[in-house]
Amino acid sequence: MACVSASVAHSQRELLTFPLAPAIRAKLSSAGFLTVADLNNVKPSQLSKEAGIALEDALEVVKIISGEGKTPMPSQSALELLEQEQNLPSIVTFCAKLDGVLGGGVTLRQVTEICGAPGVGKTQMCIQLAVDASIPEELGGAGGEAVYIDTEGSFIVERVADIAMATADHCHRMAASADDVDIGNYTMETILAGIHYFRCHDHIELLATIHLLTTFVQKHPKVRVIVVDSIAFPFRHNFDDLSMRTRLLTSMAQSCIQLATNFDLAVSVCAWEMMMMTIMMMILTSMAQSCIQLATNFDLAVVLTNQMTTRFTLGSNGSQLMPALGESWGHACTVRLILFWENSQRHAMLYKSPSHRETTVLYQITTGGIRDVISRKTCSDHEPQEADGTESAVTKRPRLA
Amino acid sequence: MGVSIVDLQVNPRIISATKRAGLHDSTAVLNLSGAELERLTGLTSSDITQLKDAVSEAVLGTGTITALEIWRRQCSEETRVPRLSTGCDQLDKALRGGLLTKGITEIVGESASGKTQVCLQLCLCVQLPVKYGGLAGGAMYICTEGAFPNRRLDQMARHFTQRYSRVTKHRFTDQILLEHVADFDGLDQCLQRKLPLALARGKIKLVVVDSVAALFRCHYDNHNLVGRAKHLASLAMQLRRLADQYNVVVICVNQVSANMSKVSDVSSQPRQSIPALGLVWADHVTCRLMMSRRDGYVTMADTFRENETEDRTVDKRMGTESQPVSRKRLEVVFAPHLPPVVFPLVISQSGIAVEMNGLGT
Amino acid sequence: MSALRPWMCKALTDKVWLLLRDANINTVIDFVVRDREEIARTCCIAYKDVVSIGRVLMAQFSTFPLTGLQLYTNIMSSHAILSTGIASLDELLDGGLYAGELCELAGEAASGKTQVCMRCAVTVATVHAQNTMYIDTCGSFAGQNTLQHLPGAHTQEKTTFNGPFFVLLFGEMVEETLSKINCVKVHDIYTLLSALDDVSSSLKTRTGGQHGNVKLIVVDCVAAIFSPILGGQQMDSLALIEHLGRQLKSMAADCSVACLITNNLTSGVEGECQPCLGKVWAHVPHTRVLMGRDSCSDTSRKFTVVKSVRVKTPVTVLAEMNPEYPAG
Repeated sequence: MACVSASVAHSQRELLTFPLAPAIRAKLSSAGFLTVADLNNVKPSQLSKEAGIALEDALEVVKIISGEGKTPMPSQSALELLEQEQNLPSIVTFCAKLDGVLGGGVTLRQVTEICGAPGVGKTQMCIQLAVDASIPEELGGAGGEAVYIDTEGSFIVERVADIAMATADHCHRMAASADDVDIGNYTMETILAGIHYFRCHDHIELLATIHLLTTFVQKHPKVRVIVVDSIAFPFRHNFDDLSMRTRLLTSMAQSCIQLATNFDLAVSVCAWEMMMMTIMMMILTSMAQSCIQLATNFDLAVVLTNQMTTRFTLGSNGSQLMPALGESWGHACTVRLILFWENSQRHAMLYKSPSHRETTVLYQITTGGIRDVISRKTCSDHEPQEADGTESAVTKRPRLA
Repeated sequence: MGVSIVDLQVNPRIISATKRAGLHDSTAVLNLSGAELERLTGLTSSDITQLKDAVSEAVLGTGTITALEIWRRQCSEETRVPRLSTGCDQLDKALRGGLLTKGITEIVGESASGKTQVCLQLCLCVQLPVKYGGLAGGAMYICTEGAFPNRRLDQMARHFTQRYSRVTKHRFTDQILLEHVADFDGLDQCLQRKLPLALARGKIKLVVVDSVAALFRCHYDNHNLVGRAKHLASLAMQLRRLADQYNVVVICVNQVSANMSKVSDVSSQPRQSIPALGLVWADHVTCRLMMSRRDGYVTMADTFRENETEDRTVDKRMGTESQPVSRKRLEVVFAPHLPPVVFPLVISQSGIAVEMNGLGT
Repeated sequence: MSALRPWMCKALTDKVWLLLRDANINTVIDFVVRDREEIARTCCIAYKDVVSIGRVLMAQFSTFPLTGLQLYTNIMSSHAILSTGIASLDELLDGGLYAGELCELAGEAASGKTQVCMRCAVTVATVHAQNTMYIDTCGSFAGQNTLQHLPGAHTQEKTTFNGPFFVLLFGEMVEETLSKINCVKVHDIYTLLSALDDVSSSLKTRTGGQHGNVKLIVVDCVAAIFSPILGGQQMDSLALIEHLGRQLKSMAADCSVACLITNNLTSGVEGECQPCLGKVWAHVPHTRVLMGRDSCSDTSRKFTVVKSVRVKTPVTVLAEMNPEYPAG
């Protein structure tokens, strides 16, 4: 029977810091096993007898503590990461300016949030990205598939077909203009076949979907982007009456208040309200974590949309539009893009990004999808080159020696 | 609500532990974090992963579909989105088939801009057979302000009967359920009880709420914005839920309010008037159509000369002699599948239609 | 504290050990705090044995006293102040990040916390030629992003940041610098603790390798890892917060590395902003700096020291995020 291996045997690390079931942990600590060193050379059978736990559990404990079956922590230097990143394609938006701001498009391995008022083009942006994930590798695209999680019911397939058709046309034109590029059978239908659609009616379904995405992505290794349109909807509007019904929560209310006071969590006057907030935040943040995990583990981009809300501020000029779901959520995303209208033109502002400075650019939505704002005449001639330019800049970067 | 834990395909040991912890359905399980579940059930983390996987699969049910399957209509009834014709071919074409049986379609406009007229026409159109753009069902008209324009409906229905005499023989007015609501209690009762019952019978394919703004604007003042937002959101949620569940068209009429701020937050142009009820409501609207008045009158004959279609079974020429019609404008402010466009409309005795001469100006 | 095991000392035979267990004496602490005579009486062990066991345990598990002078020389020998790469922030922190201390950077979303962390990591690599362990919990670390913090990067056109030109121009330097920054992406508290454990054990044994020579540990961001488990009846998470704090502190002191931790700022009860994780965590960092956007300029940020052992608080400075790089 396996004992705790020698390499970790003398560590003074406390058992508290291992993901053991709480009941077992309690039994271990009452039997005097508090650190890894205490388990040194203790056989599972012995452990089960001394701590009064089942032999199965004892085996599990030894397995967890000796780190068996777990791959060691992948630590990479920034140089290795940089090399990997340069081989990763990004997903272009087809608006060259916006791509420039985002550093070549929506980056894989990151969570990008798109915020905006209704009608400003969040859904259009999402559809465009889902379609663009399929741009063939020969043209510098990701050549992959997309997962589209629709919580608002605004996924209209005719519109997707429009954008897909325009994208396919555009790619064929680009392939024709370039030498020795053959993108073969790349049509609207192949694009649509690569978009996996999930409809979620409430936050429970959304949670379930996100939970199962890991398995799904493993089965469909070509998925390059996960789009959630929108993350705010089920949480903002469905949440309280659904949870009211959850019998369990009533018993939690008391300890929540206790925790909140200990912890200075957001506490509002109404206890019920506060509890809702805490639990919502808990779910949201764990969802954010699973999104980040998905993005890094499978080299794909996660795109979320968020709604805007009006925040009233005292003193300053009255009210102000803010992304919904509160401040804690604001920390969760890596990149935050805010879309808004100004002077009858659509603007996109990069509000938060670890790599690029805050910038605002113009974009427009045409029948073919998201495009640059170019004067009408030159539009058709300019477009291919513009897009071509960004894409090649992204991909034809030489690798580090 | 949710799937019962007992029906899951997992080890009975896990099921009994979960039940012992007082978690009986999928909602309860998914609302909790992994660590919390471990603590409550006393299961190991690998058991919890199994449990969560099983619960998630049970909640989601069938496998996924791709956009191509939806496009080719190889999907279940639920994900297909039938359209409701507006009764005017040009308008239908521009709206890519008509109104969606999904989400909420909002018609917003100042008073006397023709909102009610459009609603009435849709109430008639919905009764047409599917082949002619209708949904072969009745309509429920929830009226919150003023009296229902009975006479106008009669007038339009007469024209309609005449126009579609070769298609259907039934009396158009029979299938419109009218509901007068004077206050919030009435509205809530109607949406929570009567409407689901009526929809469950499968006869109703169109729900019109004319209007949502009236009650909210007079009932809540500026001090109770949070309460208003909550109430509004729960009302919108109920409507959306019903629209999704029964595949019906939901139309909400909204008023406008003067634009106080200089920033045009939800519309493409800075305008004098913006839709009432603010962002909370706008977040729930899937398609927003805005109507406004245009000056001037044209005559009937001008309008419908070019409006004939190849379909000879339907007599598109409604009026015979010239009659005065009023000119309106319909604008798509936002919709997931439509570009923002503006149509000139005319309203005549027989109903609404796109003004051919005015198109493109 | 350790559990009692048979044969920890001569007198602690299997038989004695079992007797002690029966009396519910499982750990060294249990043994030490009890009265010797009482143990002898209740467990029927010879008093002589009890005393000898006690003496051995005390010798084995107690710490050695240090004189102030020894402490001082120890500190002086391992003393280091690492520059953050932002001149005014260094000034605010009385020189920079001190080895052996924890510095927390708290700010609202998009206030530039990650930027500062990367700047520090790059500066430590270039100026001090030391390694950095970068623990990323929110997925915002990318090799690409470190490039723009390299000295000289700001003088280039924005487009050449990412372009081939930049890499060619600074090729060797880039490689050398970036290989000094090690990144671990973790998504839950247990892996975070394991990662820290790995670093500290390799630092203590001086095995070198990947974690050798680490002088700065960055944890970006600590709140993200706890918020999924906070709330509910999770009293464990309190203990985990406490534990993380203790581990970071002891690591910083034992291995004389500097720790830079980021935390989120959220609105509290009365609307004023406060760092996450509450009062339990507030005791952990030695220095706490609040960070915020400056209303006047897009590129400058406001830093406020609210807790420090050597600077008078609160002090606020404005710093340009893309400053002229100090020579050398």
